[in-house]
Amino acid sequence: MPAVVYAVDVSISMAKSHGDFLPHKLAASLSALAISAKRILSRKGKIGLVLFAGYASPVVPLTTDYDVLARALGMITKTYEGSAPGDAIVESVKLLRRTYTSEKKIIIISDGEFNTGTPIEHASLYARNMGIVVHYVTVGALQQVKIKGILRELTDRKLLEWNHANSKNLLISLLMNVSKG
Amino acid sequence: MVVSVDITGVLEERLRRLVELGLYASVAEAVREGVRRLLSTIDLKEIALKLYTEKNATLNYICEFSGSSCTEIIDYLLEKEVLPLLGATEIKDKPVLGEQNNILIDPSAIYVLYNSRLSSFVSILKELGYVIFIPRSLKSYLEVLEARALFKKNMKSPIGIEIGTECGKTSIHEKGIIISSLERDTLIYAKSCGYILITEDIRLRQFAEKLGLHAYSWLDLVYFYREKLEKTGLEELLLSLKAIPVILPYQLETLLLTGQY
Repeated sequence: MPAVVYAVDVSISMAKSHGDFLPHKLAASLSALAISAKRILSRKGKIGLVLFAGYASPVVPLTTDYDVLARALGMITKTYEGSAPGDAIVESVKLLRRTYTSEKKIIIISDGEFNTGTPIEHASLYARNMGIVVHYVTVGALQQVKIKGILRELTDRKLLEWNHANSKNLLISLLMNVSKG
Repeated sequence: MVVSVDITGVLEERLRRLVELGLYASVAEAVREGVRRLLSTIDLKEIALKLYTEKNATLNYICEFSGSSCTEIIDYLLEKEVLPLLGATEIKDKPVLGEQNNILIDPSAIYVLYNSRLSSFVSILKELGYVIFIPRSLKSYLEVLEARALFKKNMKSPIGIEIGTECGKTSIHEKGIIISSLERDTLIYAKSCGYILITEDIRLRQFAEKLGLHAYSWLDLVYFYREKLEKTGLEELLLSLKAIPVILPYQLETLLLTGQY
């Protein structure tokens, strides 16, 4: 039974559109998340939700109830300053640590900018040592070479698995494959 | 269906020996077995994907063709980066609804009904005087989805869909689209009875409109009668549809994004 926490970037840049991420990256990401979450629940899994911008906040504790997640998704309308995915990983680990299952995952959905909070390297190492796999899915253009380099390096060191989606359909496909186990 | 195939030379010789030795009752039986083995080596979902993306087949047709459930096929399409064309891109006008209270639903509408929060909305439609029908040939399809939904506790009680009786004979000319036998039955039924058709398959709806049918999506009805649903109820309904995934018309997408119902 998988236990998956989605950590979604709600920084200001996510409120911009890109390609077919319409009306903006955040709304398109939440739609893809809803599709993926439903599949995890159909595998008798549990899902949780963390939102992050300059800080990370747990929003939905692990649940088997899609409606709880749906209600939370329906309330996500605002974006905030900053982007701290490292903090999001730490908060996600907190949601997952008391769950006894062999398949624990954190799926981060972000447009890749990170500029504050716990270093992502430390957070990923913490997750790995807790037996949790971190999937880092970036959406949109991802222009910052530095961020690409960091994510590539962390993937090579097996601290996380990074995939980039430059279209909404690719994002859905990536999340579907991750949710398959 | 009878298919004639010319088999000569060594192949014919070998087939005859198989029959002579009693391994097969006849050459035809041996050929049928050969075809069955051939098909078992082909990935029918992959062919279904090609039919969907290149040949304008409907979702229900490719489910029928590949012998897969609708959920399996939708997941397969999504994994292959193909978004199923379910739902609607914009709300239609409301000219017929209200004049005609008999609604006929097709396999895609049934699928969406039993895999979302639509059942409570259907109760509202029934209170408004709508009667929801399916052709007799869809009865077992409906029963399977209803049983699954009840088992998964998506629903508290059966929705109460009527099995329609024949209104007369008619035919349809299928051009530019590949549809399933169940969809064909539904279109013929809607045409002969003059019922409103509800289908979530965008391709089938466009084809039905070309046939002169009044075809709608559940989403049209949700939008028309949204004031009958509470804000939370509407939000949960729309998010349950998005998880299938059903394409929401921009009018409903805007409601969801702004929270202004």
